[in-house]
Amino acid sequence: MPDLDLKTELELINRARQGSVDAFEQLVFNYQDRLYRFLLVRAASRADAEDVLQDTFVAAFKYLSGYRPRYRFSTWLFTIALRQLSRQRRPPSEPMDLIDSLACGQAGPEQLGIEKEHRSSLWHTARACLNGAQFTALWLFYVEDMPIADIARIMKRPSGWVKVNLMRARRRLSKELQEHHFEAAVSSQEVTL
Amino acid sequence: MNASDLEKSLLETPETSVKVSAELHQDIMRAVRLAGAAGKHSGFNWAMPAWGAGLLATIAIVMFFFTPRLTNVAPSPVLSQEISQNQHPTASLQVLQESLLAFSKNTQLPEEELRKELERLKSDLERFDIRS
Repeated sequence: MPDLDLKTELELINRARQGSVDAFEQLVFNYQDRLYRFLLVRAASRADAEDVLQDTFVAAFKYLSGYRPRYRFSTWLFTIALRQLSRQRRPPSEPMDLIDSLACGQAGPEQLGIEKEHRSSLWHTARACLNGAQFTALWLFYVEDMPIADIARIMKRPSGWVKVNLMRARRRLSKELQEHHFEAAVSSQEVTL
Repeated sequence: MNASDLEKSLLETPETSVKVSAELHQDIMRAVRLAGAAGKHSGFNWAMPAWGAGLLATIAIVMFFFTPRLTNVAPSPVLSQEISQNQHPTASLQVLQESLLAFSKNTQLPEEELRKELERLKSDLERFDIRS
């Protein structure tokens, strides 16, 4: 969630508009982690996510004069990120193994420990069973805590569409999880027998 | 699994706690600085062609409104009539011969020479006459 209050954020935006890279850097600090997480679960690889993150901030800095303060800055940034991601034209063939990508040759015991956790991660399952739009809507709603109107603006869809897809995504995910839990329970019973 | 359980589970995943490394942050800021510098330069570069285009447009407008117009160069009716007659000759060879003979009578050249010339013209006319 944003650490900067709205007034400070607007001041930074105004300074950045006048060419202050230092002011823009503070905005980058504030939003980089959120955008990175969003991109990591959507991009084909860690490198792609990093490229898109960089392109997003570069585009934001270049077109900062086009930002209108009536919308949230985060909404504007996520809209750019989603556009940059679609420009890559490299849809992920299968869900990226985030922990593997994070480890990237420097995997310690700690990282290997959380890998197991990741395997059963809900987002991993969500990524596998939901379509791209549903997954994006779900992420923005739960992780980014964005209102429906902002999600609709980012995804360039009506609010009703977002609501329907969120409902479908939740239903689909719940069903998927129940089936997995059931399978897990059955397999553990088989092992004990 | 109800909605609140799902929400709780969705937020407690490794994906929601990933952070950007200092190295990646530096890369981003380096790219931003480069883009900023390039943007300033491109403003200067684009200004010159814009001024040039404006100047050319002004000159073109001035030339269009303040220079005398050319007259109509459509072919005159007399000329088109002549062309039409050349393409479709109406005067017969006999008429031409008579007019040449009349012309020869009024000239100072020897008759033999004129007759030769007449024969030559006659043969030429026969050669080019499309009706023959």
